[in-house]
Amino acid sequence: MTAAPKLELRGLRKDFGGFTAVDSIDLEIEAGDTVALLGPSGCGKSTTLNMIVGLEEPTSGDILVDGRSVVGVPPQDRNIGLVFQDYAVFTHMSVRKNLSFGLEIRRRPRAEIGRAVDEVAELVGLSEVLDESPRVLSSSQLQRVGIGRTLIMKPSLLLLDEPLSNLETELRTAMRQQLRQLQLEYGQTLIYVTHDQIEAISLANKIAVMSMGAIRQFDSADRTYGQPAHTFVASFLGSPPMNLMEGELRREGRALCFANGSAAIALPQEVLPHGVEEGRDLVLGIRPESLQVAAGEAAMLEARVTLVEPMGPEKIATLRIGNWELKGLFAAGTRLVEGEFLSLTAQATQICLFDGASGVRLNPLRPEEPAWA
Amino acid sequence: MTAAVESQEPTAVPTQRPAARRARRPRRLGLGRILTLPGQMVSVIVLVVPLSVAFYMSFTDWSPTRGSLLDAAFVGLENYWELLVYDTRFIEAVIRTLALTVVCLSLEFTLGLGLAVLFLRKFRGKSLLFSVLLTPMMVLPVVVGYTFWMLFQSNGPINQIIAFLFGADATPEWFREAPFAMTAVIVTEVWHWTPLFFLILLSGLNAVPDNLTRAAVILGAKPRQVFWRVIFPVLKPVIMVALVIRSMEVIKLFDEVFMLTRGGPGTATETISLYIYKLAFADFQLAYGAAAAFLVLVGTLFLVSLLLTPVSEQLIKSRR
Repeated sequence: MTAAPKLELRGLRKDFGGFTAVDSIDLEIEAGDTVALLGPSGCGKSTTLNMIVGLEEPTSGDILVDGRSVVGVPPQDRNIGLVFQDYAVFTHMSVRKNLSFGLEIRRRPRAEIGRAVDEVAELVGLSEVLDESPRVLSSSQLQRVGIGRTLIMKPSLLLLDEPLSNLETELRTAMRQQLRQLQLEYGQTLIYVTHDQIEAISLANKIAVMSMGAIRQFDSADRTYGQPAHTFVASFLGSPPMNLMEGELRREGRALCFANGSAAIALPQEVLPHGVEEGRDLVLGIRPESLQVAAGEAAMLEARVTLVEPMGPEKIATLRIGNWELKGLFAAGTRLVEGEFLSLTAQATQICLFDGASGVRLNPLRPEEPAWA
Repeated sequence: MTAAVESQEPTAVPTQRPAARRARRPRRLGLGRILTLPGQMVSVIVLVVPLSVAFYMSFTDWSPTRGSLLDAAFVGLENYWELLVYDTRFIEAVIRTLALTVVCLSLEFTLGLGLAVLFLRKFRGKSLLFSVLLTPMMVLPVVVGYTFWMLFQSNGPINQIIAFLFGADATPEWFREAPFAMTAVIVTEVWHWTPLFFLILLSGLNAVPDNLTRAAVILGAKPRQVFWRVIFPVLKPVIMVALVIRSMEVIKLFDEVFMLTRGGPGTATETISLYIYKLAFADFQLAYGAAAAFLVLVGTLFLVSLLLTPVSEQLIKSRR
């Protein structure tokens, strides 16, 4: 078995004419990691993927696999596998021929190919359909053909482009488990490229969130969700996403206050990072589920309930404070009346402050903590 | 034909509710059938009647100079027997036409594929070249024939170019010697119809999903292997359809040969259509010509089904 490598991107950049698709990104992926490249379409994640695989050459920067640069190395010599979103299965060949394609191209001995095909077919669960035409296979089987065809080459790095998005809902769960299992058994370093946050969170142990050609945060799923490093991450992850409010800091006596016009939120002292002065434009972020009903002294803000949407075990409330509109996620039993005012609070650790201009997080990231759920 | 349409599943007409459709079924002579009637009558008149008459004619010894077809003697399979066993001119024309088909299609396919592959890349003047390349196809065959007849004259432009390049002794008499006459026919035909191959193959190549070739490249295939192992098999149905269309056309080849050589010198470039034309309209052996035409029809049917066999699965049952 090939030792799983470390992938390193150093200042990787790709320009198409005047358009910068990927803007000097740095990324380090440890051996055996499962990483998701997450971002909306057009954020540069597919271009990054294509550069890693070798379908696209970077404008500048370097790609290192196991410490060696692969820039300029043709795709077939990089030992990197890619499973396409549409699987790209060769429909004119049997499943067996699909699996053996890479080895046959490389003129490996017949016996070796046969053995490898049987082994991989067993691994991805295609032994029963080896001699079938891909035309009769289901989409999850087609995907497994795509994965098996790549795994047979024993790639040191396996990339999957939107692996779950073409599957029906019930197959997604099954495929997710299979991919997990595959990773555990094979110790393969996996990189998923996806625009779906659920896909990213459920498949990967680390997530690189991309937007506008830049990586906004590369961290564990828990931390990217609970402690977003950028307003983009905060607004991209979560459903409903994090409440983001524009305003400025004001000091009223000993109390600290985040305000915009008439709207104000009393902030605990510990939220304020060092070196942030009064009057600076900021963005305050609180997750909808971090908001808790409070009374009297504990209350940080007073908001008017404008809409209540029951969602089974939970209720989503739309809240209004001045110009800000917030979403709050409450237990189904919480008393919420549209039109009434509600006193709310949130734990200091769950309040995020971002720079108003750049969107970068200002309060420092805390060390890894138990899951937010 | 209408019965087949009726029996289709109701989902074929999504705007109509199944119940309404089922309720109307007992009325045998529906509006739909009445509306298709004129079309069916036209097809009977222009297709079935002449074909039946010609088929009957092929079993007689009728000639327009000898009165009504109904009075003509019924000779059974005599015409067919004569054609297949004794008529060497017919058999030669068949072999010549088939050889012409093979040569023309090979050249047109190779050139068309080369041009199509070229057009997958970006280069200057591509859209202009595209229009220019398609022009020959739009010219009437008679005009193409006449144009090339002039080009191939012994003191025509082609010979002038040859004389300029290789000297005056190298210029052939294009229509006086059999191999040269055949070459002229092939050149004309290839010039005229390579664009069709180019067009069909280009659209076929563009329809091959990018990810298939990318996947093959990542798995280690060299450009040549990508083409022969991935693109070509996907393209195969398209290629076969192009070959079928063109082979039917070449078998029917008439206009250009008629304008260029009239089948000459002697019968050196006489195609099967030209021979049948001469039988029917020069010798007035209409019954004999009809028999020859039916033999060609059967042969073409056989050839087409032979060409389509390897791709019939891909063409017909590709999606479940």
